Amino acid sequence: MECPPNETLARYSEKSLNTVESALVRDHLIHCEACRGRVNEFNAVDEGLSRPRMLTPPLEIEKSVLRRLFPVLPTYGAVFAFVAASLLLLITWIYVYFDFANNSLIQAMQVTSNRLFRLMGGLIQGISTIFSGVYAGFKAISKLLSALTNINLPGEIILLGIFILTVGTVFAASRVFPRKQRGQSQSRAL
Amino acid sequence: MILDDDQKLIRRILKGDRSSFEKLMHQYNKRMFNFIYRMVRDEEVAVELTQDFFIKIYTVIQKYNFQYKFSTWAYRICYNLVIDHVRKNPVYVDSLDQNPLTRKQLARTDQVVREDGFSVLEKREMSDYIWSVVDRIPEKYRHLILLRYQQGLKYDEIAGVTDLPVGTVKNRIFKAKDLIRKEISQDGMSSQ
Repeated sequence: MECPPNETLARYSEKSLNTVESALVRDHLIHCEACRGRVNEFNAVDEGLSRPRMLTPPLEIEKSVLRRLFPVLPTYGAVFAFVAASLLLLITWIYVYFDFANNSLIQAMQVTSNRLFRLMGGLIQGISTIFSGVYAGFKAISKLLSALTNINLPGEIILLGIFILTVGTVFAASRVFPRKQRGQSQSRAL
Repeated sequence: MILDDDQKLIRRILKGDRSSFEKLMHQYNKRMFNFIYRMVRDEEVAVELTQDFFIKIYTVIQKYNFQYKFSTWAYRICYNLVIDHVRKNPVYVDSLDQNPLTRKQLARTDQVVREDGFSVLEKREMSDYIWSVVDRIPEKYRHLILLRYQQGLKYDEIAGVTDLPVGTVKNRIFKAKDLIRKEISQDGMSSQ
C-alpha cells in the first residue's frame, strides 16, 4: 500500500475512518515509520487542542450589560431623600405663606392652660424658628447673588433650585453606585 | 414541542423575566468571552465585544426560532460580530512562516528547564504550545479550530454558524491541523 495522504492519517488519528479504511491504515503503519511519525504528530495536535486554556471573563461584562439594558432604579436612600426634600419644600412654603411665626393662633396656643396645646404651640413655634432661620439664609444668598450679578432671584427660587440640585445629585449617585449584583464571584483565575 | 433548558430560559425572557436573562448570560459568558478573546487577542476589545454580543442577543431575542438550537443561533451572532470586527481591525501577528516561535523558546519563556529537552514537556505545556501556534494560523482556519476544539461544536453545527458547507469545514479544519502539525514537526517534536 502506498503512503496514505495526510488527510487520511489525520482522520485515522481522530478515529473518524470507517473500519475497513482504519484497518488498511493500521496495516500500513506497521511497516512505515514516516507515516507512524505523522500519525503521532496528528495525535499530539489533537491531544493539545483538546485542552484549551479557558480564561475567566472579567466581572464587569455581566454588570455592564445589565446596567446598559436595565438602568438601575433609585435606591431606598434616594427615595427617602426625595420624599424628605419634598416635605421640606412643602413645609417651607406653608410657613412662608401663613407666616406662622407671627400667627396669633399659635401665640394663643402657647399661653393656654392646656398642656397639650402649649406643647403643640411650642413645637410649631420651634419648627417655625428653624424655618425662619433657613429662609433668612436663602434670602441672604438671594441678596448676595443680586449684588454680585444684578440678577434678582427671590429666596423661594433659590430654595427650589437647591431642592432640584439635591434630588438630581441623589439620583446621579444612585446611578454611579448601583446596588451590588448577587451571585457573582470575585475570582479571576485561569 | 419539547424545549431544552436554554429555550425554557428564553421563553421566560420573552415574558419579561430579567433573572432568566442573567442566568443565560452567566451560562454563555465564559464560552463567548474566550472565543472572542482568542480571535481578537485583546482583553479590552474582547470585553467590549462580549458585552455587545449580549446586548444584541437581548435586543433580537424575539427573532429566535425555537425550532433550532439556541447555542447555534447565539454562536452565529457572536461569530458575525467578531468576524466583522476582525475584518475591520485586522490583528497583525507573526505568521507561522515569518517568525516561528518554537516550543523550546516557549519553554524558555516559561522558565521551564528540562535536561532532556522538549520530549519531556508536560501535557499542559504541550497544549499551551499548540494553542500558541493556533494563535498564528490564518483567521479563516483559526475560527474553525476555535469553534471545534475550544467550543466543542460538531462539524454540522460549525457549518450552521459559519454558513460554510460541512465538507469545507472538515477540509479547513484538516488543513489547520496540518499547519499546526508541520509547525511542531519543524521543531522536531511529536509527543511520542
